[in-house]
Amino acid sequence: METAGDPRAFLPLSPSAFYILLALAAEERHGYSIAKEVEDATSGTVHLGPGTLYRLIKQMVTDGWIVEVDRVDSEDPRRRYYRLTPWGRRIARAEAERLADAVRTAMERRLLSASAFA
Amino acid sequence: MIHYLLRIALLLAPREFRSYYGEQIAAGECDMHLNDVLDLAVTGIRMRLDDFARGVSYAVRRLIKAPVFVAIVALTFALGIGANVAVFSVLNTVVLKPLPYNNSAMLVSVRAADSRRMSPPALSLPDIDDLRAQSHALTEIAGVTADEVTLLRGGRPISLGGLAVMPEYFDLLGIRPQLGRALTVADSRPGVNNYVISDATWRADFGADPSIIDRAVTFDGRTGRIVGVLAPGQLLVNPRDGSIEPQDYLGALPETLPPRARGARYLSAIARIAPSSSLTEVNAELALVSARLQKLYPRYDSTFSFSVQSLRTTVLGGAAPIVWTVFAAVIGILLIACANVGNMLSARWSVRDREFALRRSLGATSWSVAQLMLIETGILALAGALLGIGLAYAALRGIGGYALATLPRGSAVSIDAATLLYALAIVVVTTLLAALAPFMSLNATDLNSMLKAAGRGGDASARHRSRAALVVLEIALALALVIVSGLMVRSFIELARTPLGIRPSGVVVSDIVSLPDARFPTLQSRAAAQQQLLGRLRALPGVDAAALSVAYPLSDISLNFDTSVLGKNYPQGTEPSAAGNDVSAGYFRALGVALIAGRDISDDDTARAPAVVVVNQAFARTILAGRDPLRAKIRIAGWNGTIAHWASVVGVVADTRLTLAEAPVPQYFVPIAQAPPIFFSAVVHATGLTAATLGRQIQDAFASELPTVAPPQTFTVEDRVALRTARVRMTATLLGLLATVALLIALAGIFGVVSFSVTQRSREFGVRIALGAGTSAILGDVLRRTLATTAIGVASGLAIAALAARAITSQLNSVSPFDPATFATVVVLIFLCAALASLQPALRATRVQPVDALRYE
Repeated sequence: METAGDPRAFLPLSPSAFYILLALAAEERHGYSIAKEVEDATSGTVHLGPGTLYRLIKQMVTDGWIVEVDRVDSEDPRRRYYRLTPWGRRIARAEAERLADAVRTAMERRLLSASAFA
Repeated sequence: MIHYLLRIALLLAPREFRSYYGEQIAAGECDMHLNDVLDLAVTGIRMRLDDFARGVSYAVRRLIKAPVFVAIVALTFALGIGANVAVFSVLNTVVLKPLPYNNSAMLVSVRAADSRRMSPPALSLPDIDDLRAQSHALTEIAGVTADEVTLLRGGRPISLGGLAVMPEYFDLLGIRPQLGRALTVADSRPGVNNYVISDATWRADFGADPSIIDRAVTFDGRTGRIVGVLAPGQLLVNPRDGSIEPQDYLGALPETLPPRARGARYLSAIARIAPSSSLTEVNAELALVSARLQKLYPRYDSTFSFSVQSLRTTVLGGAAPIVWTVFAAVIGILLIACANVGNMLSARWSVRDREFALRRSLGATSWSVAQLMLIETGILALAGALLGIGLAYAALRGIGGYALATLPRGSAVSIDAATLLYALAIVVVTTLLAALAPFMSLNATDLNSMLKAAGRGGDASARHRSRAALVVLEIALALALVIVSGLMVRSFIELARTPLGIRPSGVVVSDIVSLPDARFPTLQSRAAAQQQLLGRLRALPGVDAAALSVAYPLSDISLNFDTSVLGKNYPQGTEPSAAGNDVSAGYFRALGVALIAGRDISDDDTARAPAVVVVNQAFARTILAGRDPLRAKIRIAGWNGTIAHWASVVGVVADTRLTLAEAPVPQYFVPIAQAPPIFFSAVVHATGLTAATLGRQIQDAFASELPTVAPPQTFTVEDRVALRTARVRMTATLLGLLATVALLIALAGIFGVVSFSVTQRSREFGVRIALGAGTSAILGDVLRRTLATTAIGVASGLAIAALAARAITSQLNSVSPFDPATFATVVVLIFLCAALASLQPALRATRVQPVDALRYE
């Protein structure tokens, strides 16, 4: 499990992976709630199917980007919660910076105007 | 609905993923759609493929570290799979594929039987007319006979071999010429000489000239026309001998010449049966037709009857059981190879037993370990298969070419798509079989016993038993294979040693030549030409006897005629028959056939001299029974332009065989000058010359005496014997080779197991040696165990061999399928080999140093 070194070695992330990390950046969530959050945050343009979602979760747990936390869901005891590790957070930040760089370049080349952020 | 689809999609994912995330996924199912299920299914398959790829790369990395092991296993597999691929391609082409004709399942060959004659008789033109008129079950019928013509191209005679057929032959088989037309009824009229030639003849002799159609060409000294050219590679069937091969040409069977006599039986026939009828029904109908004809024509047909046999059976002849026998042998070899590889894998994986036991106690499933084993075995099998296909290709190209020539459609054998598919199936089956042994022994051991045994080198007894069982299987199969091949080899030797009754070497014979009747229309002109040729052959340097004759032993020509003895009365239709031959003076001397009584045929026995005949001992014994042969007169059938006449028996000669399989039959020999035949061969004995030199001289003599006839090929008698025994020799050689391979693999198996067991028991041996056990005691112990295992293998092998031997009885000549000598020899051989294979490890056991062995205690 690699948790040191340059997180940029893992970039670029797939959009699905980045959105999962984003969803977990604010709080611990269970799998289904991650999918919901991603769908809401992207106004429904990104939909994570269960296969894609849990395959990535499995991979991220193995690689130490996220961890499963001990917390029982009152609604459905089958659900498990995940939290971003510091290493996962560094990777998410690195990806966000990479995207921000891309956006800056887009604005310089007049592909995008500042009003897009209004 | 989504609920069920989701469960099904989950099954596609690896078990580990399913058990960990299945419940969580199910928790969100109320919000899922069809595309979510699809996503799950696709991801599941992807993860499995990823696992598989990881497994493959893991296995490859592991295998690279053991190159010797990989080489041995891949080679073992290559031998097993390669033999299977080669033999399957033969089986598929020769036996399994339907004949290359229209609706070939409904094609039959018409057989005739005559209870008075030994060799199967042929059909006459009236016979075929009768079948056409009286049988409803046979919808089409065509007569066929082998034929040859001499084509004159630019003044050079070219001998062509082909078939003379009724025009129905084309429609029956669905043969469409690539150029021109098929033969029609009009081509059968007397005086019409039309031919359809093969693509090969068209290219070789006519430079593939398309304008050849309908142009005048000289055939046998007469003007003929080529009306069509067959498609390239067109196989033509001759129902007489079941041969199916390209022919140089197809000619029309003349409708009226030779005369439409009921007794002129020289044709064979193919027919198509009505779609609604079965072979049994057709044969029942033909039995009625035969009975009717026997009453109608008692003079010719009183003992004559018709039947049909599927054309496929005729073509296959004895080939099918041979190919199936060899196929069974290669399946046996594959099983031996699997058992051996199973043992090697078992030993290899046993080193990791502790790791696996530990893994399993920590929750890894047996399946995940089995997967690794299957992948590793599969890679080895695939490597073996690739190597094996290469070996098979080389084998079919190399020694196979000669062996294949003895099988129908043998020239068409190749490694095709069906063969490759078979190879793939074999790889799968081989992988499963070879991985079975290590997997079983893996499951037979548990962590507890494993940890106890750890570091003490005790071989788990379950594992040892399974390994010994595999060796028993190998020994049993190898024994059966060696016995079957031993029987075949003995059978071949017996056949090749069959005494023909002639001198065994130094005789050169020629192929048959025929005198074109346009140039030699009379008996006198033929006799003159033959006398001149004979004179020239006798004058050749080194020749001590030369003769002309129609047939000679193993010439494939056997002419049976009715005969009778003067002064004896035969009820109608019971006259005896005998093989007739026209021979010149010197024939018996050239072949080294002893004169028993009376005199030899001489040059003075001309057409003007009294009619005489020489008979063999079988004739004297049976047909002349109770008479003084040298005072008898027998009736010689009219044939070849001569008329039936009485001839005095002037000599009796020793018996000779006409074929290897048949005992000598009654024969009579007519002086060639008293019945000069249209076709004949030369028989020459010389000293101090090689067969090749003598053969060339004979050809030169023919070329100068008969410039319009293509000079015949020449052979030695040994060549003829080799030709006749080629198929048996091929089977014996092939089975012998396969049995050797099987034996070697099995011996390697014995060596491996004994070797492994000695290593495992070295501590025990050390203790025993320390306690004073002598070399012979240790040696005896190891050998005794090996021989006990071998004995079980031999016992089961004898049972398999007995079954196999019974199955091949039909292919054995003068050897009993339970030949005690073969069985006993092979059993002794197997025990000797087993002892030999275990000798080295046994000696190693005696050299164990007690100190080394005890150090680990």
